[in-house]
Amino acid sequence: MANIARTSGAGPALLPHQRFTAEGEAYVYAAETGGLFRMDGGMREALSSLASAEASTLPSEILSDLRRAGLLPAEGLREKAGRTAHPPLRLRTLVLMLTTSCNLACRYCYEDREEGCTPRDDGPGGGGPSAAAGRDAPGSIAAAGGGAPRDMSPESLRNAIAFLLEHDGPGGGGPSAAAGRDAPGSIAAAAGADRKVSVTFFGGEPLLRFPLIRTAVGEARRMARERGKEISFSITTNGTLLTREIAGFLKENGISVCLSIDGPREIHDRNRPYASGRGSYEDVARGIDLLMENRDGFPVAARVTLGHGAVDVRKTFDHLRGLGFHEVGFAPASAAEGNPAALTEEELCSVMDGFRDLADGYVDDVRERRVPTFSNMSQILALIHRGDPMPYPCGAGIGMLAMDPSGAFHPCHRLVGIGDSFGAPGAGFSEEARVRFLDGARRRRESACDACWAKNFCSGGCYHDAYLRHGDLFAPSVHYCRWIKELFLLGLQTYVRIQNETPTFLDVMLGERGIA
Amino acid sequence: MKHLKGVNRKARKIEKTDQGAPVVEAQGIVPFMHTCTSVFNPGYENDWTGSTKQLCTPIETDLFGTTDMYCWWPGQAPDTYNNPDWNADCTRAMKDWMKLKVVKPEW
Repeated sequence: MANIARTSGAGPALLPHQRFTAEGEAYVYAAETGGLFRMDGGMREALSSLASAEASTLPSEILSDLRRAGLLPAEGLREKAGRTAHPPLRLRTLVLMLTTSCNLACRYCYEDREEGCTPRDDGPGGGGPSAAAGRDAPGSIAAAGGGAPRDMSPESLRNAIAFLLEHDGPGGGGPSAAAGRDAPGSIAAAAGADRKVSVTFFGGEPLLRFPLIRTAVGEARRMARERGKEISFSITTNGTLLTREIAGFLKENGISVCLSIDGPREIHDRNRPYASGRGSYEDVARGIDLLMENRDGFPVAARVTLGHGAVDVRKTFDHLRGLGFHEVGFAPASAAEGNPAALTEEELCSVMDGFRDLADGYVDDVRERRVPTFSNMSQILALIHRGDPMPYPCGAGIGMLAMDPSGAFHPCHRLVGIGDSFGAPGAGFSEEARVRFLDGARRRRESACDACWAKNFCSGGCYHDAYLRHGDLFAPSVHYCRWIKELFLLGLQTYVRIQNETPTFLDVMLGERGIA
Repeated sequence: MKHLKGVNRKARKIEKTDQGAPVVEAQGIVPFMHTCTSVFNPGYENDWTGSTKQLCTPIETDLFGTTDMYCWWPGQAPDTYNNPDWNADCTRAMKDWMKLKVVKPEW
């Protein structure tokens, strides 16, 4: 029997929920169903009195509403039949760690573990992007050096893409389930699998392997076409190695760019220096200029890592919006407690204040018909809007896998080198390891997090973050619990404000495209 | 439901059903399961739809996602057979989405 949140006293057991007010009205979010409801006066009083009253003393129509909303146990609710089965591997996104090398030495980088990251040069000035990027002739197999290979070979990359195109799951409900989308007789049509898959070039710094990327994009497109699939690409880069040629290639090929930048020069240079200590802002800014010129709608997102001592969210956001980014997303640096990059309690509070400010701006943007840029909020609003339970915190091992430079699969790019690998295309994919991994995730969700009202947003949090903090992939991210709840409460309040002011926004703008 | 008014999509769905919707966990297709965690969005390699196509693409681009005949979800956009010019003034969704026409069924 799962835990349930109990009110104090002898009253009935209320299931996990969160009450809040927004715009002068009272609302309740029910975690078991994911439903968000506005309460009338009667319901407000009933919920308040439940702490001391017996359920039987409440009017039957109130009790009925509570059961239907998922606030009181009802027949059929929380039936967990068949929960031994995990969702099948239904691969939509493959993150390719093209190299573990990077030309920067960011102070919070999680790559700096056992193998460390080896900066190759000090930026465009010395040896620079062309020297670094030109190491691999297209199609060549990079020298592995001693120990685990630092660079992915073209052969591994080809195997990875073939695996992605052939393991996008049994389908049955996804976008491609619509009959007729796939060419008759194609593999996708036969398997009923997703037609759209995506590859993310990741590292290290993936642009160190630009020749490989250039070759891979063409080849992957060809392989996808042969199988009746659509393939899209994205790249997460530090931007320092961008040249006019590379920027042009990315734009021509519609490769979405996610650029790691931490804010204005003083913040960015402090967080993201070269190994020599020289800041990288100038080189990144030049790269951004190249991406932004003649971009004609070409998407460029900024991803900000918030580390200790640099948490001015508003200033960072305004700076990046000014540079022309379509989206700006924030993530606190993952770090063990005591790590100099880790945010303090006070800094987390300051980040939350910044997020509140940006949430106000988000509502203003919607009201004034501007495109909202604060992407953390877009993501939370989409989750609230759909209201689906989230049994796992992310897609690791379900719809997403990462491949390390040696060609082995991992649940995600952050878990390379941590825990069991999931095998490799040649040696065989280990379903056993995948199930073991998801078992761990579910144990956490059903024990530590079951009574939490925010479980559908968080589901225990990032595995990698838990590992750094607690040495256990499946430890709940308790160090962030209070913060996360505040964040989602902010999301709920923002959701209500937007629904009240611009009720069509979420249906139209947060449409379901691409969501299974 | 008399005392609760559904606000999000899930709540409105519950309102329409006779019984409260049972929780279904970890079975079959799981939504949003091909991206990073929603909490801190640590990898940010995917957008909130789980794909990369819209990574930082203005969400208005989705306006036209429901207009083609192969769309698997019920169209929220008018059919272009009866309303051929509903989007005539919206040449670039990103900029002109407010110029889309509202189409009301006549009955």
